[in-house]
Amino acid sequence: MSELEQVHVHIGPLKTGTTYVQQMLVGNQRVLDEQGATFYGADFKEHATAVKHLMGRRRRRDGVASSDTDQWTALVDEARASGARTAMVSMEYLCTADSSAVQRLVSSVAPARVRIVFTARDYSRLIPAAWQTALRNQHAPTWQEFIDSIRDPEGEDGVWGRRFWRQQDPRQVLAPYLEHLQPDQITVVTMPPSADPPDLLWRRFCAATGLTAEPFDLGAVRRSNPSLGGVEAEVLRRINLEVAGRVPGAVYTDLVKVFVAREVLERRPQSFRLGLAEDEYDWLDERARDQQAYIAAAGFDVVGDLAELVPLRRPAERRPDSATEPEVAAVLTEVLGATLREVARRQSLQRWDGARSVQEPLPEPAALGLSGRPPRPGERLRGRVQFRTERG
Amino acid sequence: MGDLQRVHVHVGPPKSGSTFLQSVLFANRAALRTAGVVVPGPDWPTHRRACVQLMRRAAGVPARLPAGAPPRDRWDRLVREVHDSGAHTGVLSAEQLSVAAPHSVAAVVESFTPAEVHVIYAARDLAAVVPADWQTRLRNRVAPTWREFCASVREPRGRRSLGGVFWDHQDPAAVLPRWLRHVPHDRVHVLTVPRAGADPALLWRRFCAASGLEADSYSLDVPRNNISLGGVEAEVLRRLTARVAGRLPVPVYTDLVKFFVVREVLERREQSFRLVLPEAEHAWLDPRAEQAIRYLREAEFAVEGDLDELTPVHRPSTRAPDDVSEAEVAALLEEVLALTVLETARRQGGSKWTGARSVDPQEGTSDE
Repeated sequence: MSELEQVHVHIGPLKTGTTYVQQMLVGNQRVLDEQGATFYGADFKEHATAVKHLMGRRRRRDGVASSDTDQWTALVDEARASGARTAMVSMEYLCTADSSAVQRLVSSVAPARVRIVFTARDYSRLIPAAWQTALRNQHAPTWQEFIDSIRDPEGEDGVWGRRFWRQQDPRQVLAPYLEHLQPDQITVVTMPPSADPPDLLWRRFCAATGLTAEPFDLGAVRRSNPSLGGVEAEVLRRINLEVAGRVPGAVYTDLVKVFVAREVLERRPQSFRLGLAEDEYDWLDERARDQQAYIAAAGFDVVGDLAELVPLRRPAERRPDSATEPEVAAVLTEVLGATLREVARRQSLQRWDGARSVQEPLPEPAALGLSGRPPRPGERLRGRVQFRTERG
Repeated sequence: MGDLQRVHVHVGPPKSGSTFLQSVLFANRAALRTAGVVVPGPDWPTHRRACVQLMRRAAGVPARLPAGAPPRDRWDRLVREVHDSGAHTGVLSAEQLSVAAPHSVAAVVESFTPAEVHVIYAARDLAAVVPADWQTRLRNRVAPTWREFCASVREPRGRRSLGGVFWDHQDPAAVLPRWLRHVPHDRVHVLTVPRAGADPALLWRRFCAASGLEADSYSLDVPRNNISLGGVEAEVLRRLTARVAGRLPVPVYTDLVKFFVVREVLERREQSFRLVLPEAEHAWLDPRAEQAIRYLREAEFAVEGDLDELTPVHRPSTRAPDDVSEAEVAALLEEVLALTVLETARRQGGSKWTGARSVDPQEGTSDE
């Protein structure tokens, strides 16, 4: 049996192929084992919970953190007991870890050495993806609000931009890590352009972590996160304006994030691709040059090619916010039709025989056992949502 | 207890206040019984189904029954209830009877012999009926645009076209001669539906005058269902119906679209704009209406109300039903979709769906 020698920690950030890497790790535990590596958790959820505990984000009940099960400690204990020389961790939230979390990370695995993997991606691909992520999580910024905020994160409406750069700018992400680690403990993997073979990212990840790529089964990846088209994104945004805050989070996840977004909107033929407009590349190029220069000068290992971070000019034929009302109405009709059929399916085609309220006004969501207050007409939700990446 | 003397058969047609009259009749069943009047059937849906069953049976349409099931006898039970009640008067009301063929009429008459069968026909300004009838189609799994509907009513292409069906139940000169084959002329009563905005009690009083009931003895405190939809609301319903009608079993469509979306959402909002017959359509409708009025006048039926009320009123239409903007439709669709999501949550009792899924929810962490 060997001692645990190193822990490779893939810290994302979000939208840089993390789901792909994680599914490869979860689905290939035997191959990992053969190569002297281990990945914690029977499913990814356990792994994610462990990282949340490391970052001090315990689920609180009655105002008290439930300290009885520290999943992070369990992860480290299991890695030590496994006999593997290498433990793998991959969790994109780690891109926002603060200095104390990094310190806990380093000391909890000592004397094993921590190695960080940062996957870097062309910003022009990240921005539309980040907008969609916001839309899939109850928020409703328009594309213009979002892109303005990315461009001017210090401004009054810069909250989306601050969040985005806090997650994606390697200078900001890696600063807390560099307080406790040497630059040569950090590897930057560049995410290949989408035209490249899908396993190239995996090969690079393996190169960064000392794994041998060939034996891994690429079939472990069940689904990617397909992109929404422009009309589909606008429809989701409008649904959020009406629904967010009026249903519990689990119901939103079930009905909107999973059913409407994944089962209906993602599956229809994309109306038009979301991409930046030509003029937006001009200011973004400068940010990308800064990203490249920082990585090149910091003394990190680089796997891939920093040239891949130069925004690939592929201007969209339409602006993301150019969905017309007839297009929106047509997709909304489709979603409503699909939702009614889904309700019918869930009722197993039984007729609903519960209380009907035709004669009374519609009850408030609270009276239905649903939480929250309805948003005011036209209200943007961003003003009252706490971002996890903001301290406190 | 006396013998049954007469049965009043209210034959609609649709969109002439029949829902209101039926609600009042069923809300006052006990009081009517005390007065010697029976309205058979525990409720109106049962009552209506019995009448429809009679028509199907008379037309020789085989009932679609599971093998070995006893034959349907809804109509026979309805008739038996009337005979056994000891009441001197029976009242039937089903607008579906407006399209009864002569052999159905004969069967109705025969069922109650020797009591007299009287027919009550409620006539209404056709300019008000056309937009209302379009909405009824939309609520019943057919989705013509307003223009398609109007074109078909103007020039029906065959008896089974939208327009053909319309005139089959809305033209008194088509409906009443079928009844007159087996009902004497002096037992046909016509009442006119008061103009929009009139006290609903007026329609009830006319119905009572035609059927010999004591109007003031009954409560008119009934829920108003079947409220007219506004223009944008109707267009949203049309698009939804076009998309789902063929893909949901009828009871599910009834539950989700007709009851939930229409009654609980669309009818409850403030009408976007009132649907009225556009001025241009009066050019062909008015002569048709005059023909119908002339028929009723010349036939010299007993009339409660005034045939002049049937002269089409020209209402200034600010907007035609087809002119709704996509932005208005999209805004309302958003509202309907949001309420449908809330309704789904309510039906699940706020709990999460745990049944089969076509996409792996992979819930939780990976992209928030």
